[in-house]
Amino acid sequence: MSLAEQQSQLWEWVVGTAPVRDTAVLIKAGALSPDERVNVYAEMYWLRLRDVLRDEFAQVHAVLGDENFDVLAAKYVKAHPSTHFSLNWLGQHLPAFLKAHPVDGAPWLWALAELEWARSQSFIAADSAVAPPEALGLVTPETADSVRFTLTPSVRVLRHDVDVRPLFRAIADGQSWRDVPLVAAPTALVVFRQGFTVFHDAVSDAEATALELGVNGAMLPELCEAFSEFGDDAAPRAFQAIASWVNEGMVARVEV
Amino acid sequence: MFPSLGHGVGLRNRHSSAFLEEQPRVDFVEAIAENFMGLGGRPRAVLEKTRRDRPVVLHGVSLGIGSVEPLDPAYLTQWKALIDEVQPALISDHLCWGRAHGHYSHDLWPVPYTEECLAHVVERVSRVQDVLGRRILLENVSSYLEFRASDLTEWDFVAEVAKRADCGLLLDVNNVYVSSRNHGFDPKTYLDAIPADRVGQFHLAGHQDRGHLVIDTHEGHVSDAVWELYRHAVRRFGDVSCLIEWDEGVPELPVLLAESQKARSVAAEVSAVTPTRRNSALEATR
Ligand SMILES: [Fe+2]
Repeated sequence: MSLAEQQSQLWEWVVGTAPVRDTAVLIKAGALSPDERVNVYAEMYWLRLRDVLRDEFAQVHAVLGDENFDVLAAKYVKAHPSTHFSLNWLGQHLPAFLKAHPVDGAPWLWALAELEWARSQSFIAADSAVAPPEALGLVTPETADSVRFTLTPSVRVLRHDVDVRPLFRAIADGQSWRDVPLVAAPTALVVFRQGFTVFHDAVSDAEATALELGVNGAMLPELCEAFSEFGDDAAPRAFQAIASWVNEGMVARVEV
Repeated sequence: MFPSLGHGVGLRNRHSSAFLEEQPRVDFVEAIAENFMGLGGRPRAVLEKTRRDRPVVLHGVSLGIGSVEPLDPAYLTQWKALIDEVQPALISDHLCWGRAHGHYSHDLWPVPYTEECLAHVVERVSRVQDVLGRRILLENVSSYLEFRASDLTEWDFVAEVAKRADCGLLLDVNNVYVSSRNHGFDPKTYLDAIPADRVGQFHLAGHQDRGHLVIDTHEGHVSDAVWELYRHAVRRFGDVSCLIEWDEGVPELPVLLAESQKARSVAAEVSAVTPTRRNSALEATR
């Protein structure tokens, strides 16, 4: 058997895409049978990934409990085996997976998962410069059309059909999530890091749109356009939002 | 060939405040490379502070040098960037495989010890060292199975990789012990077959002894049998940088540092009675 064939076969047994049988063809026996030896690796593979997901989605885990979380994790890992060299990315598709496969009695769980994921990614996002408040001075009537704002890599914008903030707060405080009344309402959240601390807060739909633009860098007129529903008030509202982003350290660069 | 850094511990989340705000007394620190590639925030700040205070070595877990799957160019680019930024005293990964069908297992699986695999690994190590621009240490992994196809011993395979690929070795003494119990060989035979000048770092760790199966858990104290094997390793390889790995049930920092101090005492005891290879080489030049 070639090296490639040996690896392909062992891989399938360990990750569970092929039944563990005829293992003696590949593996030596001894105090343990070849099947038992494969199963040592299969168990380690599963437990390592399961534990990473439990850590990454501690709140989802708290809601579901061990047994139900493990059922979810097993289905997820099968559907989305790791494609990134770092375990940090293992959970990247879990919020969408939960949205596509809602849990009975907790259809909002994907939104909580997305908030957890955004927070943990914001915590470790690449470092960047933060524009000082004086940078707003670059905006003058002459430069207004050519000023570009770029947000820091720690900023994430989320859009949910329910406000999961009270739920997040309660679980973080060790309270029962069952006592939290959930309000179904379109909710946009911004997640960002200040120093080493991650924050999340609700923003208006218009501000969320502007933030989404700013993640990849946006010109001031584009940001004003996000507030167009306010008519003549669009520019002042955009500027007010941008000023708050700068004050909260969400803006990396202001360039003319 | 490799710097002697003394006695170190792994950089783990539980101790991040201590490394950020204090100066724990430890000679060097080992950080898991993948946890920092392209990332920032507090974890990166802890690493930056740590490396200002003492040497840092970077330990990779995802290279998959033995995988048939092509080397991941994006991964190597990020490795190189991190090395340039952190300037580690040593870099290492494992002599194992863990990728197939475009996926990562995030585990360290043993390779078959065959000529085919040897040629495969040697060729890849050379390419990795070219990209990274420096020599890498490859660590022996603990294993729970052996391939029928293997016609070399693990120690001959490891020694040949180091010689042919011109790389270093990270000798995990606990892994040698764990595998020796699982496959029934004499761990000292293993150590004695490893070329002395290739070993750039030691790992020591706790394991779980289930009798018919020994599992490399990185949890708990180093066992008496592994301390004994470490003595043998110091006699053979000398004053090699030695790191305690404790990743499960991570204890308070003083407990971890005490384990590292114990390694220092054991090594000092051995060196006092046995002129080690490096010590005697030093004396000869004086
Ligand atoms: Fe190790």
